[in-house]
Amino acid sequence: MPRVALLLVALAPFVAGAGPDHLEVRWKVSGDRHLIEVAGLDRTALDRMRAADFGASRWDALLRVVVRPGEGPASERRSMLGSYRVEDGLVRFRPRFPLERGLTYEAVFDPSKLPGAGDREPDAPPIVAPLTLEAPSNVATTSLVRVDPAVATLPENLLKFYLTFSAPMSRGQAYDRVRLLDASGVAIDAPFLELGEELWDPSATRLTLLFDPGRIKTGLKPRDEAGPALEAGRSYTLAVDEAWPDARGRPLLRGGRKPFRVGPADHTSPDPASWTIRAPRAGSRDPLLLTLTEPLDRALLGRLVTVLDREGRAPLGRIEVGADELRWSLLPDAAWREGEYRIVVGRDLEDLAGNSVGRPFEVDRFQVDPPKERAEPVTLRFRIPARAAE
Amino acid sequence: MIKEWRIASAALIGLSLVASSGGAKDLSAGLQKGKPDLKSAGPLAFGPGGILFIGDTQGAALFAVDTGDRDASKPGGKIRVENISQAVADLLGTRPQQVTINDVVVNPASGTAYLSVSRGQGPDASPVILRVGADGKLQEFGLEDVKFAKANLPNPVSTEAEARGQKLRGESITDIAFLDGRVFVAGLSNEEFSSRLLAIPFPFEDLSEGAGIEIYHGAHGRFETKSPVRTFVTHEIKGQPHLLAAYTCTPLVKIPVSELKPGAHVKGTTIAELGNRNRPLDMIVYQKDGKDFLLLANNSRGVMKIPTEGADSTESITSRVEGTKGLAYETIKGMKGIMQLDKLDSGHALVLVRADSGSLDLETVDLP
Repeated sequence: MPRVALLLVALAPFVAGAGPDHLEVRWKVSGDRHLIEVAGLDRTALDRMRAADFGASRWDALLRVVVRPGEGPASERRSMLGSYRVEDGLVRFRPRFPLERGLTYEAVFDPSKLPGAGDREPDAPPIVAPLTLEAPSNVATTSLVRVDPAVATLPENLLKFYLTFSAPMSRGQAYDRVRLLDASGVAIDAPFLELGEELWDPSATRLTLLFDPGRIKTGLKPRDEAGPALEAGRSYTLAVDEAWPDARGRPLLRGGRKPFRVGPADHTSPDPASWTIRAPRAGSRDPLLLTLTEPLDRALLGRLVTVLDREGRAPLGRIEVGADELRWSLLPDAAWREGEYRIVVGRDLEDLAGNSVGRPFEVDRFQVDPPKERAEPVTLRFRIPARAAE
Repeated sequence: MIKEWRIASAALIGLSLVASSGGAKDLSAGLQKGKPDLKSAGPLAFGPGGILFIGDTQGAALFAVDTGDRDASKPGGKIRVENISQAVADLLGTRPQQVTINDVVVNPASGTAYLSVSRGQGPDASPVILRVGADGKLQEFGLEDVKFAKANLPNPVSTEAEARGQKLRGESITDIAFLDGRVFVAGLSNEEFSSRLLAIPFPFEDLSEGAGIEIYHGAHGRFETKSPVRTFVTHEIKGQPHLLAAYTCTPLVKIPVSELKPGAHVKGTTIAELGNRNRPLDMIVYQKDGKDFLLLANNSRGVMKIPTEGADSTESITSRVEGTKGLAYETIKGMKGIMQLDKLDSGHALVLVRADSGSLDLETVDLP
């Protein structure tokens, strides 16, 4: 070791860029990512840094990037995660994650921590290179597109609302940003089930708000203590706060309000056999139209009603659920052929109170004549007659 | 004579050593090296030998990752990170508002804490696993090159629906736990009101569509409804393994594990009714003075200490009564704002607590 140090000292005057005046610490853009480059280091130091024994803590002492400067010295703040490489005669640090716009980052390079430098220049001051990317626009662009169920009268034991947004939303504030107001505008206390994970669809644009099942289900303590959130005969408003941040941290374009009336509780399963089927004409692309006898869950209508032809194939097309959740239609991609068709309704299809085709939301085991439960789907049939001769 | 005896006894000792190390199945044996395609990092649970299970709600999958962290000889000790959301934000190069700590668990094989974190918001948020020990040094547990296995959770969504731009059904994984060769996964759908519990054998096998178990509850033994599980632990009652589960509709129930077979109609027996505004976030079982207790972190009510003694004989709460019925519980003063909770060692719990100022701290507290 001492021999190498002596050699370095002897060579120092002949190696360009060994001193701090020749060192440059700069931010660079590579593709869509930012990285730090340190230039002007001598070959020996670079070789030493490439060695396996130049470990993580030595790298961190030599070169680190921190967030949030101005609140205490850089030495006391945790370094950002990233990887170091010695390449092209440079040292490069690539942060693990993309930099955030509007935040200030500081790269701190301490020449006194270069291998061998401690003996020569223990007091060399650290070189600091800040970078602040332009803050993103805070203009609101995301809006609440719809609240479902859309009907104006809802059952007292309504199980859920769906809130659909035009762009991905942030997580963590849902239960603070949505309120249920009574007729005089006073917020009902904790009407919804509050889950840490919140219930978003994978695109983060549709939130499922469940009413607290403890206040809906018969005989449970929350219902005994606080009563149901909704009461038949009364009016309420679901209010959505415009300050709710979307996934980019911007507020909504505007808030939303859905006023509604509450009718009696619904304890019966939906009955697909009671639906009306309007069959389309052969050779046309008319919609197949189902008229329901009560509004059903919009999302489940989109997924649990399948049309099959005689060969068991499902005609491709677009499913539409009417504005009042009472109509379901299939607009086919191709013209209908004549023949026998089946409509298969999954047993998990629910009405607005969570009663499914398979079983009601709540089954009273003491009831003498309990409602029939079914495990199999319900199959409806219709026929498309041949086109009448022209 | 003596020499022979010495050799014989040495051989015996050798045999017993081999037997004990071979008896515990090496769960990391079937895992393959690579980079798990984790889309989100939610609930965490440890299996034996440092195997970390990660619930991935976004990807509808369960991962098993060998942390390689099995060193019980390292000194354990209290873990503390003040203002951890700021510390994690600094580490990940972002603002605290862009950091969500989803779960905190302690590896029983080493005493190190692991955190599942989301960096950013929206569907593109990055999942990160961090770990921290008694030294307080927060580090990433990188997943670039690890031994792992993946189980896809059965999810009844057609690719056609996705292609048609329909919103997709998602199942939020609310809690996971490993027991006797199976990982139990509790989930809550964002569409139909279902309370699916999956019992996934580990090492993983292909799961059939019918592998889910629907959990029910009968209020007063009469009004039967599907009951999503919020948080649960495994616990032995009279030598029989059970799940002790907190339902979203608030009852605390016990379910014998022997009943958890696919397709079974399983009803939990109520052992306590925890009442209105009950938001059970996390639960552990621990021993104190020779007795077992449940410690339940409850958002609005603080931490509740519930003796499990009597859980085997508590009558199912069938009659309507005033006041609290079932297992008596005690609300622990001074333990407010606890968001996550896990056992650190026999006398301590590791908690993630939100201070009045709004900052999050990772702290070690005495088990009450």
